[in-house]
Amino acid sequence: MQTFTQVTNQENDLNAIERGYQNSFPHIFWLAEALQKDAIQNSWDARISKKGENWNCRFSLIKSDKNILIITDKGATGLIGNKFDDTKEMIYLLKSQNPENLARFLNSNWSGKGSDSGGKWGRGKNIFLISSANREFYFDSYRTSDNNYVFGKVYLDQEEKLIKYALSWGEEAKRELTRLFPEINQPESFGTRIIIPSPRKDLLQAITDNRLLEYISNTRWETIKKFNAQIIVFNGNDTQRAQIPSWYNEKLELDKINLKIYEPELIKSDTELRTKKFVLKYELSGDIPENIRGIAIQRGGMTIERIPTATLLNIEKADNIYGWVEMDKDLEKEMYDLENVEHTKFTWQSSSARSLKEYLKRRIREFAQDHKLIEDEHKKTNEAQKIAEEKAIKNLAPLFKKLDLGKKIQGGGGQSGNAHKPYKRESDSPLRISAINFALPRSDSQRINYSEEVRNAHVIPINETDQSIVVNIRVYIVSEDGTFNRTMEEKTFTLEPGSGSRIGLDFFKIANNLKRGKYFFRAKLLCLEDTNIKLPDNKMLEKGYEYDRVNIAFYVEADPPSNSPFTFDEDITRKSHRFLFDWVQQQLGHYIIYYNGLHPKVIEVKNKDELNKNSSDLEVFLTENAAMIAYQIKLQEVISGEAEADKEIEKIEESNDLTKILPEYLMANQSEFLWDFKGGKNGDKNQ
Amino acid sequence: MAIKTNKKTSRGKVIYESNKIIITAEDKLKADKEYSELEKIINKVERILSRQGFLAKDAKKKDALVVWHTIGEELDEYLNKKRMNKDEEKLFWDTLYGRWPKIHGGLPKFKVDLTRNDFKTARELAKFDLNELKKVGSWGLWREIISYKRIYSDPRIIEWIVEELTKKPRTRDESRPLLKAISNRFKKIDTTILTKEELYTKLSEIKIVEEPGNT
Repeated sequence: MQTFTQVTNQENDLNAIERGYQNSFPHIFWLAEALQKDAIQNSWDARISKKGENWNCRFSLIKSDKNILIITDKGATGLIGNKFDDTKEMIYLLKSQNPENLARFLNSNWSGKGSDSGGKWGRGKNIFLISSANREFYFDSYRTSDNNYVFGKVYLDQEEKLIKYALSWGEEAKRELTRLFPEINQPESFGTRIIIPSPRKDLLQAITDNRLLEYISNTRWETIKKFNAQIIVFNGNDTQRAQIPSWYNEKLELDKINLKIYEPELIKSDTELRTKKFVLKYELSGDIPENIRGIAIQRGGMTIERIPTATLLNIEKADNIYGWVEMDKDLEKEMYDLENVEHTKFTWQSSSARSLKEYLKRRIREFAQDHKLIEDEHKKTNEAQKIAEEKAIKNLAPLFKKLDLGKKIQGGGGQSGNAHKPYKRESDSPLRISAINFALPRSDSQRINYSEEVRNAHVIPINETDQSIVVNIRVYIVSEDGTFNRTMEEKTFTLEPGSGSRIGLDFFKIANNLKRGKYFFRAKLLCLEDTNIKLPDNKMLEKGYEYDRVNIAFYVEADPPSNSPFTFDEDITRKSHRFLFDWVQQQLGHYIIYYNGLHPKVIEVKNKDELNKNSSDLEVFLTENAAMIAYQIKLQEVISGEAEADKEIEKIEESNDLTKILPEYLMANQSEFLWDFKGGKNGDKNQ
Repeated sequence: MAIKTNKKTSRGKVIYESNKIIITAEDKLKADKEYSELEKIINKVERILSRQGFLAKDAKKKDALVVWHTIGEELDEYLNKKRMNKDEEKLFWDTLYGRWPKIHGGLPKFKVDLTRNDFKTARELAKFDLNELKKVGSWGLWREIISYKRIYSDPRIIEWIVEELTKKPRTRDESRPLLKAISNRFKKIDTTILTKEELYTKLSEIKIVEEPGNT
């Protein structure tokens, strides 16, 4: 039997790739933006010095009868790798793990790059073909691997509809360059040049009116900033170096007001995936250039995607918040796998990406709260509403169990375990301290926000003996991780029988720079002399006796861990018609379900309750809607790989028909839950 | 600082532990270096003890006190050079199990409490002369002594016990009532604020309640 190799119409492939780029950069100068992204990325990946020393990349437009665009890099390795003489040898090289950059450059879908580099699947060079009106480009490279010079041509054979290439080496290559491009000199240093004859009109225009330079600055500012990287554009008349966009210098570097930098943080507590830096800025005027709006997701030193802030936090002034997130190596690696070939988007459904998005949502919400863009939901005082929310959670409990929601909650126990409650003193201990008056702003919560006050942060020494006793008392605050430990007052004195004067502070304010998290208010009493007083346990009250049971936990700008997978919160700051419910994963397995207090539906429900002087309508409303949200969250967890699919989801997956999700999964399950909830448990729901 | 553990992720990556939020490549390199430094110590100790006949191939010890004291001395020297803070030291003790196969086979099933950590106990004991320790009793007895938090947190109490048990030798089981009594006596007492004289007076006044079965 005779064997043939399948022949692909590569012109169609190229057109499809072009459409892909067009979709990813939806504006008329898409080609310029896409070209700079891929060209600089390839060049940056080939830099000799990891810190980019002596590296530069230059875009030069040579205007003549036949315009030429030359992209040159210096301080780069050139297209290194072994020479090859035939296809078999070349395939062998492509399969190897070695940096066979030349072979990979000339062929498709063989990229050997990892996540620390920017390239993906070796498709980037197609953009060079697309950039030329004739579907052709030339290249030459002076290689560090063998000091050799290579010159070549890549083109679309219009007859055979195949992408072909030809190359020559050494002196022959130099002669070819001079013959075809007499105006171009021989290279003097290591690196690669891409020579694009007859660049397309839109690309030419983007170069001449400096749009290309702007795209470079907006995409590559992180590399420019960190490595002082030199990226230069000669537009036919002027030479200009890409600079860090002015908004970075003026608005972020100098104006530290309304700026928040989050240091490395785990995006999810059960992984090791971390951000490296998350920067958020609030621009009062809202005057933010179009191209820097939203949250930039940086990978490999370039902006891959900008997520509109409003999709992360749907508030009126969302667009006034912008910034960027940098990821650590492991997270970059995960996200790299979820990136499209054009380096413009991530697939956000998968587990790591979803966790990153949830992280961004949480931090942006906090940031918005800090800047009073959102009212603090915890200031809610309506008792009836609170009862409705609690009852709704109770109603949903069987559903949570059925869906396995909340299994992942860590450190749960909140209100029941370590809840703040007045300290229960040992009534029979004659020498003690009491912190009974210690008070947080909300009687029902251990949470305290920035700028709020802790009141009565003191202890009262009590001496129920008939003798004066010398004691030492220390009152202090300590963070859970022990990194913060501050004494509020320490005193050594003679405690007369009865109650002594307060030790500690009448109040203190939570400073805005205090790390969020769990803290303890503690106090310790030490007896400094031997006495003849007997303690209830028949021991003597003596020197060294310590009483250290004042230990009250509270949470700065954080909610105590909850046992329930859901907590409800009314949001009265977002007057959006499209917002009735919204949710954020606050901690692993725990979601805050926000409902819009300004929505006419919610107002109607609340009014009814007020009229009836109860909270049953809100309870039912929350229960019914949260049931569907619970199924939606389950669905998200399954899609992201965090939870296993049940039979129903498997069935829908198999059918490959997304239209079934709403009627056959979400609505059907909500209906079943409501059947039971409304007392239909004993009825025949199958009838 | 970070500490290299002998645990691996499902992908086969070595797990490093640290109290820092983020472990940098530099931290890992340093941890690797320290790990290999410790490895050398482990090998050296194992070699010496095996040569002297204190250690059999199946990790059986001829004289556990000698073995642990030798380990303790080496660990003490190592840690004195490192100057770890309390939290780091805590991590360090946790990671030692499973790394001395000739001394301690396998990982413990559950996390070992600091008061029960053999390596930490060994280091505490290294502060004493081996002959002094021998006069007091076996490794088992010493392990018992160190396991009482109140005793362990004040080195002067240990010194007193050494004196006491040297004067009047007791086995581990026979010593337990004394140790329990001391621990109980100082249950709510911060002994570190007492002078040595005050502490010793209180210690000598302790009345020992014999446990049923101990005569």
